[in-house]
Amino acid sequence: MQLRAMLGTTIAVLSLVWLPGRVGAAAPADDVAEALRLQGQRMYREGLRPSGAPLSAIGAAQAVISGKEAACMTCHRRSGFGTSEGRITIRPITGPALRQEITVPVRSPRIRARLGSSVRPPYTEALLARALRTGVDAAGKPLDAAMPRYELSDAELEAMATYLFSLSAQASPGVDDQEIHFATVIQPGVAPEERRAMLDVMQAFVRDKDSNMRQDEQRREVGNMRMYRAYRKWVLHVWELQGSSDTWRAQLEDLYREQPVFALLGGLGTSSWQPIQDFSERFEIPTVLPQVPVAPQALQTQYTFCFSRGVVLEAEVLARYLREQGAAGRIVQVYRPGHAGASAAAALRQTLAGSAAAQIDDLQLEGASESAFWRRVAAMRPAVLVLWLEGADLAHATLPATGASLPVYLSFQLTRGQHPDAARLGGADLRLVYPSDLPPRHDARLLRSRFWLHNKGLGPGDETVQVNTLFTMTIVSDVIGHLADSFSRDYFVERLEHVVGQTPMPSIFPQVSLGPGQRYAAKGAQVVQLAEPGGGGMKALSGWIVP
Amino acid sequence: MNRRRAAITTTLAAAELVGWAMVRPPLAWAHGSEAPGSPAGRVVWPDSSGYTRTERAYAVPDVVLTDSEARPVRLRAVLESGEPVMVNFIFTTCGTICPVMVKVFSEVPGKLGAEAQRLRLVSISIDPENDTPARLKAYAREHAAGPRWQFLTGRVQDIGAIQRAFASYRGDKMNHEPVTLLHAAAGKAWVRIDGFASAAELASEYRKVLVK
Repeated sequence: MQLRAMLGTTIAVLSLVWLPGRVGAAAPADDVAEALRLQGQRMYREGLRPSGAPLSAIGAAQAVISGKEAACMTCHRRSGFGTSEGRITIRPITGPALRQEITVPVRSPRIRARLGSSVRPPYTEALLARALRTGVDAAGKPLDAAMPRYELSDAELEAMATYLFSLSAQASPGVDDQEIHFATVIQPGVAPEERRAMLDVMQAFVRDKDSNMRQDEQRREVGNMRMYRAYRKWVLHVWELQGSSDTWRAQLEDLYREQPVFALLGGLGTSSWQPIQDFSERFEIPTVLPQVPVAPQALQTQYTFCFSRGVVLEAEVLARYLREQGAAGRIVQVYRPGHAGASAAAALRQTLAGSAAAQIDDLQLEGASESAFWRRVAAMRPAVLVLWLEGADLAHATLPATGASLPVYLSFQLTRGQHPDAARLGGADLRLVYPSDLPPRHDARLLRSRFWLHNKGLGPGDETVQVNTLFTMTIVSDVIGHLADSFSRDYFVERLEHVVGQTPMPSIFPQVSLGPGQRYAAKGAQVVQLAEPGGGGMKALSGWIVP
Repeated sequence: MNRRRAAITTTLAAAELVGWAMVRPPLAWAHGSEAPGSPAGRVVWPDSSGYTRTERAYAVPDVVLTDSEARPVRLRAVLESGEPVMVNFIFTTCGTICPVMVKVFSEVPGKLGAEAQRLRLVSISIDPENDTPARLKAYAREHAAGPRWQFLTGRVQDIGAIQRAFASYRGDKMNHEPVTLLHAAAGKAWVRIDGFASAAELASEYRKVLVK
């Protein structure tokens, strides 16, 4: 009897936080109701009343707040599922959460400390109005001091209620009772080793996930623990794009119509990710950490998460380094127009724009990387040479030996370990803009990933892609676990923002973190010198630079 | 079962009574002392809203941070300058705690009037890689920060060291808690305020610290 009551308690309390997406009212269908819902949405997200005037409220510490700072979304988040900061837990206010009745007091001290001992009836519009204006919940208990007490008219409250009762009331597409569907997008022209590296890791990971190791399928059917009822089999689709980039959006829409997916995981490409990002934003599908040299530059995306700003970040780091070193004399940049290197060259030029001493000249490589081209490079007599080129182009580079050792800078993102021979470049001083860390810390950090790769029988391959893919799959798995059976994409995005900084699984980047609204996880790099004359590995020339 | 139902009803009734009994007079709204158009109820605050105050000795690490103009700033020069200082920890993408802390800081000089002349406000970012000087500058402008309010960022390891020095390190920034630190001058004890203190409360704590 006691045990059953306790289990009942646990479920009832867990219901407060993790609710089935399917239960609850859908938005009312008619135009008037929809207009009210949109008014409510504007108050919720922007803190603006239907009249356009800002919301006003008294918040914690008796601070008078208005407008955006008083918007519900700031704390309850876009999904309405809330979040936590320190010891403050911000509760869900989705439609299903508000309509839930909590009837049994919590007895476990541990759960009470975390969730409180809420006992309350479902919210009605009147109880919601009372809560927002006077700060007591549906049971009359005062709400936390961090919750503002609002000044709202009856009409505004009606709009707010219409919105909240429909908020996150349905599960996102791509999930059914048995399965959750993901896709990974691969652009044409991706190197086979990179493609193999990413897919091998993804498929091994999903195979493990679906192997029913913890008897999850059986646990779903017996007992009454919500976390097992949340179990879904993972299905991974590989979406390989063909042809020119202006056809990709249509291809993605066809693929999606054929098979809706909950999120896009990873992904590979050598050219602009913009068409895929546009698709992602339009259909509100999270895209989690594609590995692309040039990150989408639209900084305020809602749904696309990137490891870093790619070669543009490297260019800004290099520019700062050169400026710190007192860059003087002629800097020559080489890149292929229309490729990732072009963005890098532009960023370097822009960042060094203020520095009077530096003279920057660009040389574009078109066609084959032949000795004729490299003679032109040499003829410019650079004091510093910056090569925004891939390994294949660098393999054919030759420069005459000059008296002094010419500093030549390479991009980690573009070269991927395929460094040219310094001897062919006239005994140049080869340097690399490097977003990772050096041994021994580098190897200590990646030990965990390397063990996993070894245990799955995944042989040597593109280690950067392998490690980053394993990172991506691990955090997605963590986040899906957090969602339990609240399969909301917005909630997924918010949890991703929250957990990335806390995961023990490494990526190639020594420091990753996100936060509310942040979309680039790694923000710095360093300049290293490649093999010193006489052997030896990389040597740090700069500290960690965060532009 | 009946006893259980009775117990719940009693608890609910008691909670309701206790809730209504904890009414604090609401602050003046823009239009008067009661929320316009609100039902007869007045605004209610929980009993536990408030802060705790303790006095501590903290050793300020000797690190060099960067201000919102990208200038290097020696932390000891700011925190042990001889002038009174109030410090908090923020990050620009924080949604719940920092907006309140920053709002309160922006109101404190107003509460102090002429007494604020010697006061320095310092907000240190605990998300230094995202909070670049440029980002802090925009954030400061958004919150109408005056010239005596500095926003500082720095290397990840230095920021960690500062948080540890002030017993405020919680690992990930999302675990942070509201804390404000006050200091009359170098060598004096630090006053540590845990929780949300209003601008008026901070002003009053400041006056107490100066008197000592």
